Amino acid sequence: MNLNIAIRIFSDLERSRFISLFEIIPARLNAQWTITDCANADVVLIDASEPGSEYFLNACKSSVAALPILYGDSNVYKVDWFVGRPARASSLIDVLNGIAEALSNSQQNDSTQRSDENLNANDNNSQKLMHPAALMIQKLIEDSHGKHCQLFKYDTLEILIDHDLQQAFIDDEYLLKTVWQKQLSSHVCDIPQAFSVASLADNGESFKATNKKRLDFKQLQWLCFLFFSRGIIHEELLENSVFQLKRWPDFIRLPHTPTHVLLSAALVKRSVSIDELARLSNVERNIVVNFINACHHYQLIRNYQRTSKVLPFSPPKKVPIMDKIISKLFG
Amino acid sequence: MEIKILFTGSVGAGKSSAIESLSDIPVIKTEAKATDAVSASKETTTVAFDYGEFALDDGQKIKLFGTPGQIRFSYMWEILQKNALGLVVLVNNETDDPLAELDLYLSEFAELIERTSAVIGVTHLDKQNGPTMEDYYSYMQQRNIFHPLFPLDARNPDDVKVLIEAMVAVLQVA
Repeated sequence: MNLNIAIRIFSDLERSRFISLFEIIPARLNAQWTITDCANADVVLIDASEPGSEYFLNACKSSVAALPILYGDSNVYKVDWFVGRPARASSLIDVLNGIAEALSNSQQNDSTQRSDENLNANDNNSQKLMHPAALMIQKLIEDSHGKHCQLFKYDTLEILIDHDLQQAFIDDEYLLKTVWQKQLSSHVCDIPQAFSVASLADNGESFKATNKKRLDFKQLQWLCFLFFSRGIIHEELLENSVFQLKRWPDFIRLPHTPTHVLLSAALVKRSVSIDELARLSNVERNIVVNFINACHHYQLIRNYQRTSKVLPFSPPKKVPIMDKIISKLFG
Repeated sequence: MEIKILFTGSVGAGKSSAIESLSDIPVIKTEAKATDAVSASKETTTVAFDYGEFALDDGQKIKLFGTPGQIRFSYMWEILQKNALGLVVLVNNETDDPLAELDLYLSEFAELIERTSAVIGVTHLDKQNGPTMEDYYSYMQQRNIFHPLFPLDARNPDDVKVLIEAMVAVLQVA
């Protein structure tokens, strides 16, 4: 049996400890375990003491997402699988073998019942396919509906949702520069459930005073697709087809980086596949997918199967003066 | 070599304001008291050109030229477009027929646009019952024009910077 495990532990020391353990225990495991990211994991190891662990655990329990193993104090949350601190090889082996056995039994039961569950399968699939950005939108806007003002927080990223004003307040400088520069590969954008949520006593007035960027909910949705898509194409789009912009996104209103503007320039000019666009614009594939998702959400993009021959194209010109102008204007 | 960005467009569209919002220096204006129909909307109008500039980090200057809006001063248009890096077309949505004006500027500067790039900004959208942005998008689609098009406030430097950002991006993938 092959299983994937993600280590959602942000302490470098603790994380290294687990990675070392995984290097020495494979011979004693009854399944083959591979360390991966949360998006592709069957099982996720979660540190109970770290921020957002409760939300992440709840998300794991409430959907078809990965099975959680709690690391730390077993009294913090009620879970089926637990590894005490400090992590020891023996306890990790016991837990991993227990999970592998449970999953194996579960798979056998599933296969005997599968023929009776065709109708239910469709429902489960639709739940499974809920897009990460849509999950983030659901968390920020839909789940907090009826609460006047709520602060969502992960690490130093904070988003205030004011339902009375139908607006979000956010430090876009942080989001567009700091998060962007990390190429969005960090856990922040992987796990909507990791955001903690709190109601603010003063209706967020002090927060609003220091975070000047206001977004209406449509702009917030754009932002969610741009930053929380995890490089997964929107389920309504055909990943192996070509895309072309129908019109430019309104970058006056929509948060963006120069990369998004460059992608627009390339996507308006011709219809291209995701991989072609990534090469044409010299941009990471995940960023391309996230941008296409955001454009699709705003109905700005066409998506169709290519019928004509691929035209040769060259990557963007490296004209120093252009970079200098952008650097001057946007720092 | 001189590097220049050209701003053109209808009277009152905000060409002078856009240049002011980018320029490192006080904008040099060649204005005269408006005497014709223009005087209903503004007291003075540009008769030769507006000039501003901003310096890049290495000291190189990007010159910003604004053309006169009125067609009777169009002799200046050809002179100003030489060596331009690209064109910013600003459309005042309050004029009688802003789409026709957009058409005019795209035609008059077609050679420059073909050679470089153009970006279009629509101003004063909130002030009258003129075309909506949807009308502008339709206009562009019907003519297969793919230039960046944005609604903006020409007095807001952040808005004007987005125009330049888009122009540069188009040039990079040209």
